[in-house]
Amino acid sequence: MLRSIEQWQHLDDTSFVSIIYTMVVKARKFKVTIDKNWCKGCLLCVALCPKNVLAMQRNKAYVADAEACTGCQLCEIYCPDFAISVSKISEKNDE
Amino acid sequence: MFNYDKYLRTDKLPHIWCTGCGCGIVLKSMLRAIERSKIPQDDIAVVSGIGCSSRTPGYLDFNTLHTTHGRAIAFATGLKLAKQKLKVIVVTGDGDATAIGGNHFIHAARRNLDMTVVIYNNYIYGMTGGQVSPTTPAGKRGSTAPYGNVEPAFDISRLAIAAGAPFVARSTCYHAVQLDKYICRGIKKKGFSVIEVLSPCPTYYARPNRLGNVVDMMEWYKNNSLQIEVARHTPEEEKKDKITIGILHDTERPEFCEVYQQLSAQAKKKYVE
Amino acid sequence: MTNKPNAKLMTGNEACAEAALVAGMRFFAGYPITPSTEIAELLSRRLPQLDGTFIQMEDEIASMAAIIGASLAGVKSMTATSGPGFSLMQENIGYAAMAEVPCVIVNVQRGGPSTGLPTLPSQGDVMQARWGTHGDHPVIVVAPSTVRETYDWTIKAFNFAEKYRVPVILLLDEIVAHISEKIVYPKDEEFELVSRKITEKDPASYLPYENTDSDIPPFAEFGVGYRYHVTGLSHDETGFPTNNPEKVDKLNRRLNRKIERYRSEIIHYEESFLDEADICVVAYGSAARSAYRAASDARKLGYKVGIFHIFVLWPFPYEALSQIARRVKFFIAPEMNLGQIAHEISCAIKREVIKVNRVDGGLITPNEILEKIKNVQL
Repeated sequence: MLRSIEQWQHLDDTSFVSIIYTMVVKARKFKVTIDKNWCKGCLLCVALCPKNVLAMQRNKAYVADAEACTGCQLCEIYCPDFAISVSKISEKNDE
Repeated sequence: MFNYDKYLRTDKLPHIWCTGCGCGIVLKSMLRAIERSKIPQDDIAVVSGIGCSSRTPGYLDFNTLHTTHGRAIAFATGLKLAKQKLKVIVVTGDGDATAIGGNHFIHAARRNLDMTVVIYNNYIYGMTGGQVSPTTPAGKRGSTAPYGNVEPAFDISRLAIAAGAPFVARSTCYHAVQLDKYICRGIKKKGFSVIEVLSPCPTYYARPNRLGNVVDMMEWYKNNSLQIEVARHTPEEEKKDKITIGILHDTERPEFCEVYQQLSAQAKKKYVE
Repeated sequence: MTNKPNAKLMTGNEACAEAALVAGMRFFAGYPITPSTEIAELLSRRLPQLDGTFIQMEDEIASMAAIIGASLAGVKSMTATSGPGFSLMQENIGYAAMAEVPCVIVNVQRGGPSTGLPTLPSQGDVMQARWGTHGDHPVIVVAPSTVRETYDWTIKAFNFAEKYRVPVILLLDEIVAHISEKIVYPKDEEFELVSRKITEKDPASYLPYENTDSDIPPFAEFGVGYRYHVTGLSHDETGFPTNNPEKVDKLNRRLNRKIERYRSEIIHYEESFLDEADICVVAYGSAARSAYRAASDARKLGYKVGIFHIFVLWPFPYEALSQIARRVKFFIAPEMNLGQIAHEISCAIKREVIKVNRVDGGLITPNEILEKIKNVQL
């Protein structure tokens, strides 16, 4: 992202801050994938996700609000069954 | 985001642990810690005893050894001494380590043998169906204590410190991110390092004791744990039934293999002359 | 082994320790117990001199566990104990049999049962040596009767363990262990040493418990890139647990076939004066010492008496005994127990065995055997 420092030197503070903000927000797109076969419906990911991205459907977790995901990976950390993984979506292969 | 597959025998998954069991969480934390420690896979040996947590090595792509109940540390002692290049990680449970395996646990700590012992403490014997273990709190129910556990519980971490382990940390499955750091520190430590992890057993501990599901247990860990840094300034009364977590003990002690090598070098010199 | 005298006065325990080093043993884990402790004491001095490792563990269970761990790291390993410790080791001996981990367990037998007679001999553990641990499992049990034989059979014990990937039990007793005898020091080269067969396969295709035509899977030590799994659970060729009846059956039959099919290479006994004997004295361990004397005394008195001296107790030499039974009518079995091997002999010869038993901590004397020889109604 910070391809080279020189390009930032000439900017004044405000525009510098705004560029950083847009980059972080725009780049902050993550994909949460859930393996329905391995999910045992233990509720951990749903309960511990800080942004309520996940919910339960017929005793399996599913992605209810993909946009809200901040990529914090707590769901992946707390899933005991390797049933959930978070991946970063870079601009190039945006679905 | 983290690439677990690098360390997993993926053909062995999904694993056998129950819904909401903490074993999977601790296993993942261990893999993140191993990644952080940068120790080559060929040099890592994971040794376990018998019990739910001891099924962990079967899923891990290292030199793995699933031994007899309580004896993982004793097997690991021979493995480590015979090939000191190996980084030995022992995976064991509260019963495996402190009931039948208690003797080996305290002696290996006393000797300060270089190995990392990760104890999944779920307060119960899970594999055999929910019998009380040395860490089941007094009064709590188990299949062999239908009227409530008569016996008071061990504090595994204090037991390890008292036996001489130079590095002892405790965490819970709720504090999984912190756990990575403790396991990694334990792996890097030259000496006997113990990481006790409070791990939920929804099937055989929570249900008979009406403690709700795994989310409730995580809630319980969150509200009943106290960081050691805070605990140090908390009056005794307030922290009486709280569980202190964090790095509880971290000192330096001569490590067994090193001391043994020095002695052998002298013995060999004298012998050759 | 630098400068060694060509002859030395040595006890059985010393011979066992020195011979183990000649065999390449470089890891010993043990726990003090009379009458085997001298083995540990000697090795605690000698192993550091030879880049080996000695450790006194917290109990015999841990000792047995540690030698399995060391063997998996590729180091020839051994422990030594006596009855009570041997009983504690049984579960892990079974593990060594199941996981096919080469190792040697020395059991210096003392008076039993229980604490019994710590400083006095017996041969009361011979059945335990075979069946002490649960389940049908392979094991080899050898029993020398002199200090020199202890030296030779310690090395053979390691060769058996390495060749067949099994636990081998070296049975001594308090007499063989503590008696001092002159031993003409064999040169190391005199001994052909065997080491476990190492796999030639690359890690990707390596099967730790492959059903090879030899029934003995090639070995790969921990930490050199094979990253395989070892467990005490019933497992398949890949080493991972299985309950599949067909695979479990295959494993259990292979484990036991490993010894049965190589019986002829393992079994060892020595016959003397049995060609036209009327009476055969079958003996092993320190009772064999008295048997030889009794037989020679008897021959002087005109009795036709021969000796069948067993060195490898398990697998047991049934065939050889049944051959002898065709031409020799009477069998006498002197044992410092109540007839544990006598039972096996009678299975082989399909006839009653005249037992000479002592369980009072004393060595069976030649005269006791001689009396029995005299009482035989030819």
